[in-house]
Amino acid sequence: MEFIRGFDLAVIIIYLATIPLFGIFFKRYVHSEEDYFLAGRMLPFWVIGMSLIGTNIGAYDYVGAAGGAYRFGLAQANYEWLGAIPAMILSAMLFIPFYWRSGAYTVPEYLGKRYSTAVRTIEALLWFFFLAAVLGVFFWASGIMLNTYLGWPIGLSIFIVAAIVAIYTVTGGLAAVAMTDVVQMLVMLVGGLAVMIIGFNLTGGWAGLVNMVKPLHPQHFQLFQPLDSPDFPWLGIVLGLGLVLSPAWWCCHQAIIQRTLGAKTEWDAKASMMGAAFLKMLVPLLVVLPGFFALALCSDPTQITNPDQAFPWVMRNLLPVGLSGLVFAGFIAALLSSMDSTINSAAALFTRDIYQKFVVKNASDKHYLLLGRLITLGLVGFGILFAPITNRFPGIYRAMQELLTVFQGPTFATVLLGVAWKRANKWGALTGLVGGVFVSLGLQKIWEPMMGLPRTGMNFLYVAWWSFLAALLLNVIVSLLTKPEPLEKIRGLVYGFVLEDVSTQEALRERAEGGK
Amino acid sequence: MDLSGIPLYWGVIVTVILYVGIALWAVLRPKEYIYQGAPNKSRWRDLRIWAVVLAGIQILIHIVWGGK
Repeated sequence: MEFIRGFDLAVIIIYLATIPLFGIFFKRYVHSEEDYFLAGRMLPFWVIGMSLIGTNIGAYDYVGAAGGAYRFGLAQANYEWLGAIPAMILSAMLFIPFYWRSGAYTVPEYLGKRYSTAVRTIEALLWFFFLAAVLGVFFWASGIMLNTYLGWPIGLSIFIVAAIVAIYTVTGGLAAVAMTDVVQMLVMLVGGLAVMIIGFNLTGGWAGLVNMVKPLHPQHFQLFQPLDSPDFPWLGIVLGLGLVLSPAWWCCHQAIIQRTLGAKTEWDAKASMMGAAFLKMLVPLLVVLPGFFALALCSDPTQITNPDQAFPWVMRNLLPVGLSGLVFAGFIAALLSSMDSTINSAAALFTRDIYQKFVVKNASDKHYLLLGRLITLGLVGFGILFAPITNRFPGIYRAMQELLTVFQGPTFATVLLGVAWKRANKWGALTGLVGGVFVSLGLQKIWEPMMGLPRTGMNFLYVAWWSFLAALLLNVIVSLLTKPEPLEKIRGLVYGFVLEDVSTQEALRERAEGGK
Repeated sequence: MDLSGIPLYWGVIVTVILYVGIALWAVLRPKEYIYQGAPNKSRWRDLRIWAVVLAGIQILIHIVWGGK
């Protein structure tokens, strides 16, 4: 399917060469661990907002979401709308201020202050292994992508992408990650808008698109699908995606939260998430519409035998020379921006929550900075080695969702009660977290695809809901049966205290200044 | 229990209630909490307004495309 040559290839190579140089520029601002993992807490809201969306959109979104739209229609946009916007508002108004004020670098670090070291460590390990595994997915996706479009061997493609990301992530830390994300977000937007304009031009605008698609696919223009739909049952979308998976992503995902902690003020931290929500509303234009264009304009069904071929078909058949290169650069940008954030966040988790907590305490800033860089490099190496294993899952996009679901529900329940309920204690959190993960594993049977067995597990949207509920109930019951946390310990870390007690502001400042 | 007969507009109703609830909750946050850390209290920095606009657009989208 190799179809990018000549001028398009030049655009892509220039882009690939420029991004690491741009990232390296920010090395000059990195002198400490805080500079490396939190960009010295100097980022304005608009940089973080764009970086959040850059992190959120992966290349798998382009292929997977366009394929989903080709197959299911507008229902695919649930991931960008109901599956994001309410949670982003909640994250900005409720969760982010607490993370930011607590002075934490990571979500598990906040949980350590709120509950216990055990809860912190379990969360840190879950996130660390998940992010490391996701890296494998990203690297494999990059190999497949460059192989498909440019004809480069998969192994070589993975190595090139890994080298580019490693150069600017290792040297510039979060500042380089966030600033390159801004550039990458702009490239994605321009490329996506170009596809949209050309697509609408060919279909005769939105009305023309509806006229071409609706007669054959009447359900493609509705967000909700019936309850017996195997992929998008509306109740599963509302309960699993809207109320659990999405808040878990936007309120508890380390790669998401970490960049808001790099904000220069608490207002910037909150505004970054709200600003990102406005951008998020536009994402279906980039990733869902191409699926519709393929459905409307591809008259030969043998050209798209698998929905995931919808986006490549659009690129090959709709875009002129030069623009294909730009859109493909956007494609790579989506991949790089997710990859760099994942690497930086996983390194932060390991450095702060494992190494600093259990291995070498109270070392110098330089020591932790060096370790952060080494871990970053190690993660890139691990991602390269783990990449081929991810191919054993039935689909890359699905693999992401399934891996997340195992602990997203229990994590959200733990953080939610930690922030919102004073009575939640360390024993409740521990029981809820561990119990919720086991409920999730039991319902989803995630081992089946890995062992080549037929799937018998529950739809992941419902798994998220039930594991969340199980973790919530276990936390509440065990907390009520055991001793409450001392007020001094949780002061400033629970929502009610901040609103009812002015002196907590002082406690928060002291806690933040107290450091690790 | 067979739930497959429940019409799709119930999904829209539940979603609209969710967005209205979130917007109302956001509007009721104290002003000091919203502006904490802001260099000034300009109207555009009032994140409660941002929340209401976001929820409003989403409600409109779900009413138009939610399903019947």
